[in-house]
Amino acid sequence: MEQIWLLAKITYKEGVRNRILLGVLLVALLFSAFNVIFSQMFAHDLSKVSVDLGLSTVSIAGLAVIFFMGINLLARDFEKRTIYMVLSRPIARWQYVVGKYVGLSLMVGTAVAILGLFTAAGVKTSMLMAPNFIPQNYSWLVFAAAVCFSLLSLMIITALAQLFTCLATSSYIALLVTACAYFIGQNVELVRKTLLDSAEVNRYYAIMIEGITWLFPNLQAFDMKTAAGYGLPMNTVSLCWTAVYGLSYIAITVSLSVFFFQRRELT
Amino acid sequence: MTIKIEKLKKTYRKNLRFSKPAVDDLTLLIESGEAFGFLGPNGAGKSTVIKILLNFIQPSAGAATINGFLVSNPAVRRNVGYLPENPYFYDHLTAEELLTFGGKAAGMGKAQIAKRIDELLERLKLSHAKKQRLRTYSKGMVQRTGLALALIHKPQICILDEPMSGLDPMGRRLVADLIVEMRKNGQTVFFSSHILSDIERLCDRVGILNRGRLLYCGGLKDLLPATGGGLEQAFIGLIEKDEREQHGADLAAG
Amino acid sequence: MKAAKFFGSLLPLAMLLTLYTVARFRVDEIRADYSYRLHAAALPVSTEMMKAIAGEFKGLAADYLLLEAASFIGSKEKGTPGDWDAVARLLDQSSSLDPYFRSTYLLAQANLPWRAQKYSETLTILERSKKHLTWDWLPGFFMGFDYYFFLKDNFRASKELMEASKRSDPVSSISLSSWAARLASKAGQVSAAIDFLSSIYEKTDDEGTRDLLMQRIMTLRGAETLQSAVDSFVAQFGRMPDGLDELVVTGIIPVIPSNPYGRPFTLKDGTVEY
Repeated sequence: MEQIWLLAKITYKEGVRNRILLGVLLVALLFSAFNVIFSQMFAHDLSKVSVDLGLSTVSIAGLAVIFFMGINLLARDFEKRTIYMVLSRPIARWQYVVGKYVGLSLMVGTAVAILGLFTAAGVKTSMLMAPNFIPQNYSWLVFAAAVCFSLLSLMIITALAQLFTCLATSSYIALLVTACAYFIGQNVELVRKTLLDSAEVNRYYAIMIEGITWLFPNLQAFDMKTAAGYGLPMNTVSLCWTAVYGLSYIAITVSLSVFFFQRRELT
Repeated sequence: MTIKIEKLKKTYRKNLRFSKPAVDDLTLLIESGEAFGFLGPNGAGKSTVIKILLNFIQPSAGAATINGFLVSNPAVRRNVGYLPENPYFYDHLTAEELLTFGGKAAGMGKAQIAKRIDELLERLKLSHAKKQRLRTYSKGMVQRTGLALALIHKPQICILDEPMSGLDPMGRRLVADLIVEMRKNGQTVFFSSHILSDIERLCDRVGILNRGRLLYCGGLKDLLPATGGGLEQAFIGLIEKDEREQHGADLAAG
Repeated sequence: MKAAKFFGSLLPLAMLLTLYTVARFRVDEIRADYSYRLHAAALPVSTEMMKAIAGEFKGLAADYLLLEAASFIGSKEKGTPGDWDAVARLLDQSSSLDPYFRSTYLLAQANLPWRAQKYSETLTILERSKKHLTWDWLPGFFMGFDYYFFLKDNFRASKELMEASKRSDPVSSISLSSWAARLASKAGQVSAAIDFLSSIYEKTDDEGTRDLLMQRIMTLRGAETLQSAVDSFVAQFGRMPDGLDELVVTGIIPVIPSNPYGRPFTLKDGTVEY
C-alpha cells in the first residue's frame, strides 16, 4: 500500500510540475472568462448555456490533460526507461500499475477541481448579471455531482489510456486508440438506441454493437451537463449505480493493465 | 552465494521469429562480498543478464536467484541497488525527492533517509544541486544521481550497468572510490563495463561474455598470465579466438 | 501454491465482473428512464456558426446531427412540440452542413409534415436538396406533394411536379408531367390526385403515413365516383341534382360512399366537395 502511495506521489509531482498543465489551466481560465461574455449573447436560458459551457470546459481540459500529459507520462516510462528507476526498487509490477494510475487520477482530479471552481465562479457571475434566467430548481449540489461524474468519466479514460500504453509499443498508437475509445464511448449509447429502435437490423451487426457496448464504457451515462444546467432532480440510487458502473469498469481495466504489464518485457 | 545464475537462456522475438539467443546457457555464481566485473564487447548480452537479474525481462530458460530467492520476487530488490546504463529519471523531480522515493520504497525511515541523502550527495559532489530539478542536470550529474539512488538504502548487492559511462575523469575516480569502499564494507558489487582499466583496478573476479556465451569466469590473476601482457591483451585474445571458432562453426553449419 | 495464487486473483476478478455486469444492467435501465435524455436537443446555433464550428468535419457533423434526430424519431416517443422543434432544427442544420445528404430530406419528409405539421421547415430542407442534387427528382416531387397535400396549393404543386418531371427518368417523367398538368386544370384534379397519392403510397413504409394516405385516396375515390354520378345525372335529367341523395333515389349509384374524414360529401354548384 505504501509503495503504491509513494509511486502515486512522484507521478503526481512529475505531472503537476509540467508546464503543459499550466497551459491547460490557463486556457481553461480564459474559457471561464469567455463564458461570462458568451452566455450573455443568448436571449434565453443563459445560465443553462453558462453551465453547459463551464462543464464542457472542465471535460475538455481534463481530456487535454490526459491526452497531452497522461499518456506522455505513461509512455515515457517505457520510452525513456524511467521505469527502471521504479522497478529496481522492491515494488511489484501490479503496485507500479496501480500507483501510476492513482497518481495520474490525482493529477486529473486536481485539474478538474481547479477548473470546477473557476467554472462555478463563472456561472455565478453569469447568474448575478442575469438573475431572471436562473432555472427554478437550480442547485449547486447537482452542479457538484456533474463535476464529480465528469471526473469519473475522465478516470475511465485514464484507465483505458494506461491499458493501451501497456499494450502498445509507441505512445502515438496508444494516444490514437485512446481517442478512438473515447469517441466510441461517447456514441455507443446513441448508436445502440437507434439500432434497437429500427426494426430491420442485421442480426450479426446487432450482436457486434451489443458486444461493443460491453467492451467500451458508456460515457454518456456520466454526462450530467443537462441535468446541471436545468437543475433537474437526480435520483440518488441511480447516481450510485452509475458510480458503481464506472468504478467497476476502472477496476477491471486496471486489472487488465496489470495482467498485460506483468508479461511485458522491459528491454 | 549471493547471485546465482543457472543455465540461463534468453531469446528475443523479432517479428514473431526467434532470433539468435542473446544469452545462451549461462551459469554464473557471485559470492557475497566480492567485486565482480562483467566484461564483453558491445552486444555480448551483458545488459540482458542484468535486466534478467532485476526481473525487467523473463529468461527463456534457466533461472536466476539472489540470496536464494527467485528474482521474480520483488522483495529480493530490497537488498539490491541498481544503476541502469544511461539512467534517466523524472525530469521535474529534485535529486532530494528522487532519493527520498528510493529510500522510502526500500522501507527506510524519514530521518535516516535525510541523513543518508546528505551523506551521499556530499560524497558524489552533488550537494549544491540537491533542490534543483533533474532536468537542469548535466549528463555526468544525472549519472552520479543514479548512483546515489542505487546506494541510498545501503544495499547488500549493487548491480551497476556501465557505471563509468558519461563521466569525466573526476567522476570516474569518485565512482571507483565508492566501489572500493563498498567492497571494504562487505557489499557485493556486480558491474559491467568495457573500460578494462577500471575492471583491472577494482575487481576480484571477472566474467567475459561474447555472443551470449561465457568465455571465462574466474580470478583476474588467473586470466593474466595465460597470455601475457595486460588485461586488454588477454581480453582481445579471448574474444578473437572465440570469434574464429564461432566463424568456423558458422562455416561448417553453412 | 501457484494454483492457490491463480484462484486467489481470479476470485476478486470474478466478483468485479459480476459487479460490473449488474451495474451495467442497472445503468441501462436508468438511462432508459431518464426522460430528459429522450428529449431531442439541438444547439441553439445558427447554421453559419455551425459550419464554422464543424470546420473540415462538416460531413461528419451532418451525420451526427442526423443520427441524433433519427434516434429521437425512432424512439417512438410522442414528443412535445419543443422536441419536434429540435428535430426540425437538427435536420435543418444537418442539411445545411451537407446539402447532398439524401437521408436528411428523406427523414425530414417522412416525419416532419406528418407528425409535427412542420411544412415550411420541410420545404426549406427539400428546396436545399433540390438545388444541390441536380440529378435527383425526388425532392421536387416531394415538394409538389407537400404543396398539394398539406398546403392545398395546387398551382405550386403542379409547378414543382413539372420541374421534377424534367429531371426524372422517362417512365416517371410522363406520369409526373401528366399529374402536373391535371392538377393545374380544375377538371382532371381528382383523378390526378388519386394517381399521385397512390404513387406516394407505394413509396411509403411507415404504417401511420400509409393509413393517412389511404384515407385521402379513399376520399378522393368517393368524390370521383360521386362526381361522375353527378355528371351522368345531368346528362340524363338535364338539370343539377338537388342533393347527393337524389343520385341514390334515381338509382344512378347504389349508396353514397362514406368519407373517411367523417365529414359527409356535399354538392355545391355541381361540384362534389369533401
